[in-house]
Amino acid sequence: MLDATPFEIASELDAGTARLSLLGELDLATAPQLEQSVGEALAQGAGEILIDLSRLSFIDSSGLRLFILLNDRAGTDGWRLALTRPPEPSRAVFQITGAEENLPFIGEPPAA
Amino acid sequence: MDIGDAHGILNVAQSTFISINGDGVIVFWNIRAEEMFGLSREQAIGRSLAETIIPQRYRDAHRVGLRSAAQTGEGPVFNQRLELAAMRPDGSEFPIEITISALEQKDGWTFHAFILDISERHAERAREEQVGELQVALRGTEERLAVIVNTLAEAVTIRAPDDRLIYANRAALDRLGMSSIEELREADPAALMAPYETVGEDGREIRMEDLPSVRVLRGEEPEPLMLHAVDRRTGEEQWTLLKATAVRDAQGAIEAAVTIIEDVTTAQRTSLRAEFLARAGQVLASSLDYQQTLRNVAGLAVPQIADWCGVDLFDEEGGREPVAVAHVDPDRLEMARQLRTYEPEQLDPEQGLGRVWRTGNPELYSDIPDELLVGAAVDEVHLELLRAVGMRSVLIVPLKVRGRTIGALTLVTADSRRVLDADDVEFAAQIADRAALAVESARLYRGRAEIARTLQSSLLPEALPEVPGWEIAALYRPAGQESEVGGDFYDVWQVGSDWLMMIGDVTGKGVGAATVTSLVRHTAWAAAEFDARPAEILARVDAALKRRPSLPVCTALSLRISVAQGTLACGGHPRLLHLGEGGVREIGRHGTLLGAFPRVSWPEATFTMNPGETLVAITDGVTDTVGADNERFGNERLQETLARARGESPEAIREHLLEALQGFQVGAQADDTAVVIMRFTGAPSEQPAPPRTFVDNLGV
Repeated sequence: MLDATPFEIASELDAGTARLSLLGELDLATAPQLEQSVGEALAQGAGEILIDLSRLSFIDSSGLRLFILLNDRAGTDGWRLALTRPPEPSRAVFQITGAEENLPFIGEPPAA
Repeated sequence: MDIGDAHGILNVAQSTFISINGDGVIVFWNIRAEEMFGLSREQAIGRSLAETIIPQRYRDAHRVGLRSAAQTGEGPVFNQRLELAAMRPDGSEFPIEITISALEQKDGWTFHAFILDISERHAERAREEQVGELQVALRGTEERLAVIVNTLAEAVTIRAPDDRLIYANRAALDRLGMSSIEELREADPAALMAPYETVGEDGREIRMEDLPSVRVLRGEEPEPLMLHAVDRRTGEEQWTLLKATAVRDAQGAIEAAVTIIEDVTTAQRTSLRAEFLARAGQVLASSLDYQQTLRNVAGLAVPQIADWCGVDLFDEEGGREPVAVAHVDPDRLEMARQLRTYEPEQLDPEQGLGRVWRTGNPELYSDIPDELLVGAAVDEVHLELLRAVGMRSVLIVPLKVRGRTIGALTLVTADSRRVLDADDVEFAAQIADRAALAVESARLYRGRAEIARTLQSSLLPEALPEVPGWEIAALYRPAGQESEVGGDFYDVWQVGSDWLMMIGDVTGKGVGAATVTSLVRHTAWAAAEFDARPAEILARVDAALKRRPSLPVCTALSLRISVAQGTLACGGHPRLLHLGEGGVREIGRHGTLLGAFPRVSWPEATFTMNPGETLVAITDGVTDTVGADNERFGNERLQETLARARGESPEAIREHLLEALQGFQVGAQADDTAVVIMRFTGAPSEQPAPPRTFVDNLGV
């Protein structure tokens, strides 16, 4: 049996901004953890959620779908979502799905 | 008579002869005396007798006696055989028989003694005494032993070399139904076993020559034997452990075999049952095919629990479905099958299975009298069959789920002659509870698995169509449980003279994903009828998905083929792989994930195929396959694998790829995997005129 997907979330709340740093693989199994962490941060009064993807080693369509879902909710519920760019090979997933143009990434795209 | 006259003769006599005077001084010492005491005549004569041959402790008595006798010539010791101790000069003592006489001579009384060394006699007597004492002691031991052996709970028997039992303690006599050892000794040893069905732990028959005591008498050293005996007269079951030891005589020959017979019925029953329940648990958990599961349980139950085990399932209306019947002997199973033909499919609520179905309570028939068979038989043949089974006891326990009786477990004893009792009812109920749960979960699961299979097959083409000029093969590996529907799909269908291929991956699993997959396929088919351009098909699907509130997202690759010409668009999907002379290359451009984003674009790419070139479309389950150290199969490994298989048939490429994936994969498959492989074999020689349809006109 495969070990549990390696995945961790480090979260800190500072002046209305929650920074969630993802470490490992975001997939069908781990996406619910991220969704829960975002919900908790919002419940604690965060107006902006910054999700740091700089150490995201893998993302599948379930992970991607969660970002789409969060982006929709942010628009509807009036909070801000921001994502930092992930490294390869996760980045390719955002690129080939059109997510890079459609999700609120911040900072300059790294030189390709 | 003067003793002096006789001394010449006495000197050479065969006996020791010694004379002393009234002062106790030795005056005569013959040759035998020299030998007996190791002292010459010269040495002895003139010495005090007391200091020469009488042990220290007797000397005072000797002097007192002598003083008295020297006066009177009388004393208590004269003229009789006395046993005394004598002493050699080295101080060692030995027993003597001595006869002393007194003679009055001119200068007073003299005393004369014949002496015999009776060491031998003494030793013999001591031995005899010892033997006597030993015999007395042994007699006691034997009696005590008999008392101990008789009070032992374990039966003890002794078997003689002619196989007859010559001893049995009380427990053994009771066990054998004998009142005395005499009765036992007269019994034919083979007849003693006759009233019992005897089998070993493995169910093999045990005959007299297999008994440990009999084997011991044959000079073997048998292991203890676990014997299952059922008394044919009472149906009573017993498990005994027989341990036999040889009794040998002084020469080492086997005189008898002692057997200790330990009744281990309770322990054996308990352990067999615990073992059975544990195995039943494994068997029940091992398969979700409940019919097979119940057959396995029935098989486990014989012959240890009963001689026959049957399982029936009931429906709501009291219809019965016989699921399993087990017996160790296949001929007997045939008998069961014949009997089945007599049994009504509809249960009779007043008896047997029907009664259990109606009441939900177990039914125990400890004894099956012939009248019962006569009453139950529908005709002569049936009765004959029933009698042939030779039922002893029948026990029917319900299989219950949430208070509802869904079936019954039937245990029958026959050949073993064992009578089933209340204890068996309790145990059988435990088995039935486990079996019922297994049946229920298997039924639920089967329901889910059937739904899943039905759904899945509705989401994939039943067979790939024949596409002129192309050979096509596909691979589909759903991940996870059988009861879960995968989110991957593919399809190949014709629109006008062209062919469309679509492969995709709906996020999620299960019925939710299946409905989305269904939506995507139907939307694509409908869209293609209006506009068969790949980008347009993806746009339609994207729009259809966005109308759903649950945010279903999907990746898809849409490919249109017109003989050797291809056009494709990707919606968040891995690009198409092209296997040609130059190796493996990706073709197509990335487009937006379907159902996800407001800003969308699906740029199309077109290409031309040369005969022998192959296209491979995958879902990300291929490249995301997890290997050792959480490494992914990845694009590079995929391309290497395909490059090696380049030029082979689509089926061969599929097998290479499958082999590579299975070789790489560690642990369970994490994601669904779909692959479509299409080889262009060249334009068909006779190209039918393409029907210029309305659809196509719109599209181009």
